[in-house]
Amino acid sequence: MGYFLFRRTISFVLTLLAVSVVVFAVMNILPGDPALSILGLDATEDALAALREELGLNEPVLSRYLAWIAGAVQGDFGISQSFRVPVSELIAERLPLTVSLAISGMVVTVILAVALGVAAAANHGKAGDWGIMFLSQLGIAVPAFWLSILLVLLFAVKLRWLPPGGFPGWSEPAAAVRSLILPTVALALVQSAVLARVTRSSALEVMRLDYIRTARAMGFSRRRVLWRHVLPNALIPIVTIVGLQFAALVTGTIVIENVFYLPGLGRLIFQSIANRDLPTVQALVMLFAAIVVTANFIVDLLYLAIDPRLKARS
Amino acid sequence: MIEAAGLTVELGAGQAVREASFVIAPGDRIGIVGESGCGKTMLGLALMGMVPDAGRVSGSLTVDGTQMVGAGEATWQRLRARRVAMIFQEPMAALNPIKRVGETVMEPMMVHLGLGRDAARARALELFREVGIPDPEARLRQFPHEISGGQRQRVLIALALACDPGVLIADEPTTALDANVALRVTQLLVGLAERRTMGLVFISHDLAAVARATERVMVMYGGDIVERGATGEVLVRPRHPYTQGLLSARPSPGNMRATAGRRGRLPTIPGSVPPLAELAPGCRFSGRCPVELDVCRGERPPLRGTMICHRAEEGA
Repeated sequence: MGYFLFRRTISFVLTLLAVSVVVFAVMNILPGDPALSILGLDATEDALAALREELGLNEPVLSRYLAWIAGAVQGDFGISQSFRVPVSELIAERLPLTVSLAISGMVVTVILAVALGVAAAANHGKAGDWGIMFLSQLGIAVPAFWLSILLVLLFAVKLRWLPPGGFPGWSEPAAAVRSLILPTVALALVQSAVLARVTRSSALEVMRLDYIRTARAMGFSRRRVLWRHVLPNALIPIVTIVGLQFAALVTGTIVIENVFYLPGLGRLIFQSIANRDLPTVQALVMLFAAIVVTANFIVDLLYLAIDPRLKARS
Repeated sequence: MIEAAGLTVELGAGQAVREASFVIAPGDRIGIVGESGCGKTMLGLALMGMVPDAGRVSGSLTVDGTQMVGAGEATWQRLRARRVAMIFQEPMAALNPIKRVGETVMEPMMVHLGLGRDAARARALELFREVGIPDPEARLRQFPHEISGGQRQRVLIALALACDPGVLIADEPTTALDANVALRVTQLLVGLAERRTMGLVFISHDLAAVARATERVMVMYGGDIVERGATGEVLVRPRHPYTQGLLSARPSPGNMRATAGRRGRLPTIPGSVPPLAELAPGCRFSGRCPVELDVCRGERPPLRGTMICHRAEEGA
């Protein structure tokens, strides 16, 4: 077990390192002059030279990379060109919103998907199963941004239950939560459609196994067999998909934050790309990648918690 | 106390169990023998109310006086573990792999008997001792993959005994175990049945194990109980042609010597058990029977004494 953790930690660090190389390379080595792309084609040669100097573009690539990594490890991602403040400040302001959105989206996804998936498996081949599978097929087919617009039209414009967008800040908690409801639902519905199918097929697989027959032979109720015996054993594939979906949710916030005018990281990366704000884009892409890698690392740890057999093997 | 009368299990294409009648009283030890696919397991499942969804059960089955044919799932749930318990063939696969075996054995006591964790743990420890699990304190905390097949079967027996059932159905309890372990598990089941005056239904195709474990035996073929009687009597002087074939097909010093001339081949029953839908409407064994008459195929043989066979009177 110690060995497993050690190996996973090493590969976690190596993955982050590899991601940083790719992100840096894409931003700095590929053809195109960052100074030119920031200032535009009309810029004078003097202005370009000055900006190259300011960005440190005259240094060798390797030393620029090392300087970037050294700064990033300490939370220093340089100065944003468009906002003229440290990138770390921009991130610190917007991170809580995006993290709240991603986590609430994940929680709603898991609750909805497990409930529907288990219900479908329990009613295998009956109307309930078909209904849930039809809805999930629909959910998979619908794009998140389109669903968001429908939700806004229905709940904000027509019924006026919830705000159509914007974020009042955490100083008004009730209003803040209300403004996150629609974005959360928009994120979660699509993801839970996928996860419900995984849950259903994993549960059906487990229901056929001998130890479930043993549990039935012990006179346990259907509900107890389902939730206490089938579901815990069906969790491994579910957790795998949840890890992947967390990545999709985090990147999904880019679209959702733009649709709902939420001042989070997703909107920041969108603006930064439009403004050709290189240090900010570079830091955000790295941050998104780090979140995804961390999520997968946590999934690996969850496997150990779920299945004692893995502990023995590792 | 279990009483079956004309108990029939229909499975889509045909009858997996046909008009089975028998009584299992406290302390009875009854064997059910026969080839694979002859209905032994389906009969066991019928006694637990666990035939597959597609199956239809008819006839009469009472458990402690309650009619269970047509009873709902909720009624069966109250019976399972407390009146009738069952252990299955594959001890490797029959235990929840992510639960400690102690927790598995404690669960029915906490759910059905309302015991608290400490009381359930104490009883689980007692049960582990009773079924002969060495170092029971440590075993309680282990996972199924950490213990051997024989120990797992003992854990399953402890689980089945958790709510002190009146009848224990053991479906091929020793088949997946090696010979030494199988012998000890058989002896354990006999000892438990005697000490607890618990009924034991021992389903097996291992005739030696059935001979050791049971007092009475029912031989099944194609869903019919074709012969029954005292275990010693039936297994020593089989009267039904199927039982005779079954017995002659097992290696023993006698038939090995008799067949030595023919390159040491064991006698076999020609053919194999046909699928349910293709069974003859009359005697199920017709087509494979060496002493078949014209009436056998179409007409169901009546129960005569201890067997159903058209040639029963001739002492076939």
